[in-house]
Amino acid sequence: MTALLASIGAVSLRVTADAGGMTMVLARLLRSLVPPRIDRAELFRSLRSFGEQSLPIVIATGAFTGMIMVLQGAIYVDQFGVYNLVGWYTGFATFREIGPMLIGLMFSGRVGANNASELATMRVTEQIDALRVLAIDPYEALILPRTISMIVALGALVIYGNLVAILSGALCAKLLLNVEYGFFFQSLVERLGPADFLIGVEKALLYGLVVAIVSTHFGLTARGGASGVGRAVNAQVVAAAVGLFLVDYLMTSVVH
Amino acid sequence: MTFVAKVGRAAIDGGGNARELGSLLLKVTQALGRLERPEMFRQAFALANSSIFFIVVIMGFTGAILVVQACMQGQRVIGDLGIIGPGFLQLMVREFGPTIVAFMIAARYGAGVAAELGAMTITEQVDALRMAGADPVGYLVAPRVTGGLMGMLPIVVLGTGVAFLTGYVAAHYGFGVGWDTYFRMNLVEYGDVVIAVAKSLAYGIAIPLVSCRAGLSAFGGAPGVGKATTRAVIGSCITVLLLDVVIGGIGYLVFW
Repeated sequence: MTALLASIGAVSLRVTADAGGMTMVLARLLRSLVPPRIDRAELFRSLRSFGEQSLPIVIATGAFTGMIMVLQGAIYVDQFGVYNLVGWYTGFATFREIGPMLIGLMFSGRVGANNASELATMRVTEQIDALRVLAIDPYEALILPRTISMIVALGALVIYGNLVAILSGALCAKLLLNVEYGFFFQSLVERLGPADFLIGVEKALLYGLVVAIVSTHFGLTARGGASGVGRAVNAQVVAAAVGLFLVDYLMTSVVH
Repeated sequence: MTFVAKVGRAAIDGGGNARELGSLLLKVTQALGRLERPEMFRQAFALANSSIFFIVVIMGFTGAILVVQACMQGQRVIGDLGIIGPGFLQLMVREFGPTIVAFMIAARYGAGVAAELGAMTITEQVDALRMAGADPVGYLVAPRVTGGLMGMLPIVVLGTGVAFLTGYVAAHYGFGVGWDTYFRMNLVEYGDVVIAVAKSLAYGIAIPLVSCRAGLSAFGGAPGVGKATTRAVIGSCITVLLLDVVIGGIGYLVFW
């Protein structure tokens, strides 16, 4: 019984400490926005490494997402004969929920984990302290440019991923349900508005911010050599997943 | 590198990875005879029991988000929320239960395995095992794969149940759907359950296998451990999506 209470207490202390740490990261990010001093070289380097180099995974994820959506709806389409709804439900589910979420999780697994592991390595080898000694603010030089890059990159990647998902969905609908391409896109365009697409992109921008804050926090608080780096990466992947679902829930239930 | 060259490179890499994973799986089956049973149970515990809190939180959000989205669309398109509960249960059992839980397990357990084995590899403890005449595959990989196979199904069942319950809370308090309307199992068929079990078991083998390979092929100090963790999460998630498409497609062709 006391062991249970102790572990509940330990977990809540840890969660509170992490939440506080992440709030501090957000506050310092906002603080370093005024006056805006950003290391441009780092901004462009990280945009390329976060955005362009994630493209293969995002294309693969998008392609699978489109196929899975059509496949899951296929039984209802067969049952009720609603072949005119295939484009709509594929687009709706992909744009609003599944596309941003799956691509966000992939992004957190690749870019967030990478960022956390780089910052954690710099931290355990005292390179962050060296920056401070040289009077370089790590937020200006590293963290703010990377945060901006993550937000921009994830927004752009979700647009790409949605496009790929719709194309692969159309292909899958043609092969599996014999729905013509024109019919598929007609149903998509008629029943969905720009708002359905844009809400997914909005979510993606927020997910980018969440991944940035979480990976920065766990990277900068790492300690204890090689296994500490591993632990930081592990913790960031888990915390980012919780963060994404939390933001998704808030966006879905509060915004509407 | 041109785009075509990149796609070709990705395809070649994917093929090579699949071959190496296949040969690792073969080695695991050969090592099954001298499996360390206590270690297998410990791994099943680490995968399933230690993830309970995390999975309950994530799947709780998932259920609420999906039901809110479905109810909003149901009101607009069909005007009847009677189909929401049974349809959501079927979709959860067939698709989102196993797949989202697998994503989360890949993030939590997969990243942990890769960090652990990665740290062992770069500190040459794996080589020490080989020197001592112990087979790293039999000693490290086999218990994780069999433990994953054991632990995955229970945690998927738990996650699906939690999502279904929070979905009810969202449907009841947000849209006034009663329990009798919500909880009907008439849409869930034999085929759905077979697909769900097949997916869970396939993910339970794939996630530890991919993560072990990522950990055992780590190199280059502390950053190497971080990179191995990233590769484990991304590789596991892509494999899960691939298996999802394959098993879902086979299930569609067999049962409908």
